[in-house]
Amino acid sequence: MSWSRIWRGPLGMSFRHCLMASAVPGSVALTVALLAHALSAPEIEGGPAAAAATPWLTLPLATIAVSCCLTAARIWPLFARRQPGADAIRRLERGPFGGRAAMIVGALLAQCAVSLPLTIALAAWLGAPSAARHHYVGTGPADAFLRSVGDHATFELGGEHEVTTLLLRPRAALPTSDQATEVAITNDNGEPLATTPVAFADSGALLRVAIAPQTLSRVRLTKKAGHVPLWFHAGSVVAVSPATLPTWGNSMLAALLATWSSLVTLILAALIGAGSGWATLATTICCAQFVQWIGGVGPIDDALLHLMRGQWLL
Amino acid sequence: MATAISAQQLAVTYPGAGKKPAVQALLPLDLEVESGRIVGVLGPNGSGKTTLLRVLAGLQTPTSGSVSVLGEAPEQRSLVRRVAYQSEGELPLQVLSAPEYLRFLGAELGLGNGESDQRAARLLKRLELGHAASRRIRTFSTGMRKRLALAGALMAEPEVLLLDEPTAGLDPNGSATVMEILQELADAGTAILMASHHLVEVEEICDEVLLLHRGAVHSRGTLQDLLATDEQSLIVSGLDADAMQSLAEDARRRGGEVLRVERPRDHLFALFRRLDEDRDNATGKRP
Repeated sequence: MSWSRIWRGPLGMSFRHCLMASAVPGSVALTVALLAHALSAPEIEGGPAAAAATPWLTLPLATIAVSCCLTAARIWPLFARRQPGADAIRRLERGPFGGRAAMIVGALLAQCAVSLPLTIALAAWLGAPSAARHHYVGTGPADAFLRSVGDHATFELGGEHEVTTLLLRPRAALPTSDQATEVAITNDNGEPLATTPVAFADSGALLRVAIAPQTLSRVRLTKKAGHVPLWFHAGSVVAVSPATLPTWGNSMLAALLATWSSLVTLILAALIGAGSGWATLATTICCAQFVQWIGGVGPIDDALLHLMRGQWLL
Repeated sequence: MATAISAQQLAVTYPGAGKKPAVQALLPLDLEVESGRIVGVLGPNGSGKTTLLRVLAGLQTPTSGSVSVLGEAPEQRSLVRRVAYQSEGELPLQVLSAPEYLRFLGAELGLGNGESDQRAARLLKRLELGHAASRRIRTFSTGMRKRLALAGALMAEPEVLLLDEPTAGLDPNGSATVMEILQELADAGTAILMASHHLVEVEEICDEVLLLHRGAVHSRGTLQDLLATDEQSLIVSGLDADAMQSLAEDARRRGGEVLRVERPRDHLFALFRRLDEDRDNATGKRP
């Protein structure tokens, strides 16, 4: 099948109309986001807090995603039951998906076409770091408790990586006195990574430890002193690479991840629409997008936060 | 002539659900339509006209009996280009313009772009939709949508045409154009099965009529056969007012009754056509 035929068929039609339909609501949401950010941008330590701007990145992107999904489902009469002209289309589209697959692909391409430049521009404008870093989450023992002096736990980084920073965020149990717990950090060869032990007094406090650039495959934490029992749970030890990755590339990855939410939504819509009318279908689409973008289900919620924090998404 | 549509003991029953009983939409019927013939399907609402057409279009599986269209089962994919179906309902894809819609159908039918464009332009002109080429379908009047639906059905240049109320909502001009096109198609060898409520149109172009009632064939034959009774009406034209008066009095004297006296309508049709042309010339949109 030639490209021009694809352009005239369901895929091209879906692409063109989703593009047109998302332009106005996307622009309105973008304007609102920019105004809101300009009026309420929080500052931390004298600079803009990029991660706090994540909602203003979310708003236009989510609006575009919802617009594209609703448009594709509205145009194609086979998405919901009893739609005008369904018979005419059903005769032509005798495949197992009744043309819905092509409509979904068209909608995702349109969403990508609008979201991609927007994500790149917005991430830069809202203050995402100019370069992104790999984050390697350490994998340790399940009971990584440092209770007594001399207790230790080793966290594997899943291979050898160039590391310049460690992020430590343990949870603390009830202390036996008010003396903070000091932890020594050593590398694969047992050499100390920090000149002095790091100290923890509160549960969930994030400690950023800058280290001399080096290649690491594991990190060992040993309790040196103090009376605050620490639990290094999954995700509490993260090694960070130097900032060498382009933020625009990270933005592109975020835009691609944003289409994942629409893919899930439209597949769900196709399944539900087989037995329901347009009103139910539209509600399903809005709800499915909402829980993925705002409710933290699916990859996009975290992805945008990571983008604004300069964390490489791959 | 070759048999285009053939059905034996074709029946359709819609299954019941919960407390809803099953509905016998079509009781066993036989049907044969030859190429080049126009068969009208008449009957009140709910008589099974649409169900019959949907079965022949491959959209509804018959409960029993056998059916073939151009020698194949109606649901065969290969028939999409050979059999066209214009449903009674709304057009799909109303966000498109008329040329976009026809080009979409062309792509779905597997036509080349050039051929698709040519057919679309020709049909839009023939069905007097050229002036609305830039408008979205959802802004069309009922009559324009009906004409576009027929254009869509004709994009395939089908050998069999299944039409469900093709002139419903059309003005007299549009209706006449559609009838003219259908007659041309039949003359060129297309088999046409047309469900309609318009007796005059059916009488005008149908070679045979199938009268359905509650899913069963009530009667079949030419409309003249179906209407044949001992009573006859005399329709005259071309007489002046005095002669008409005299003829009416004579009819009453002989025990007859004057049912209706009406003026010719041709001049009204001509007026509609002229108004259309004036509008198109004014907007300069007619190709």
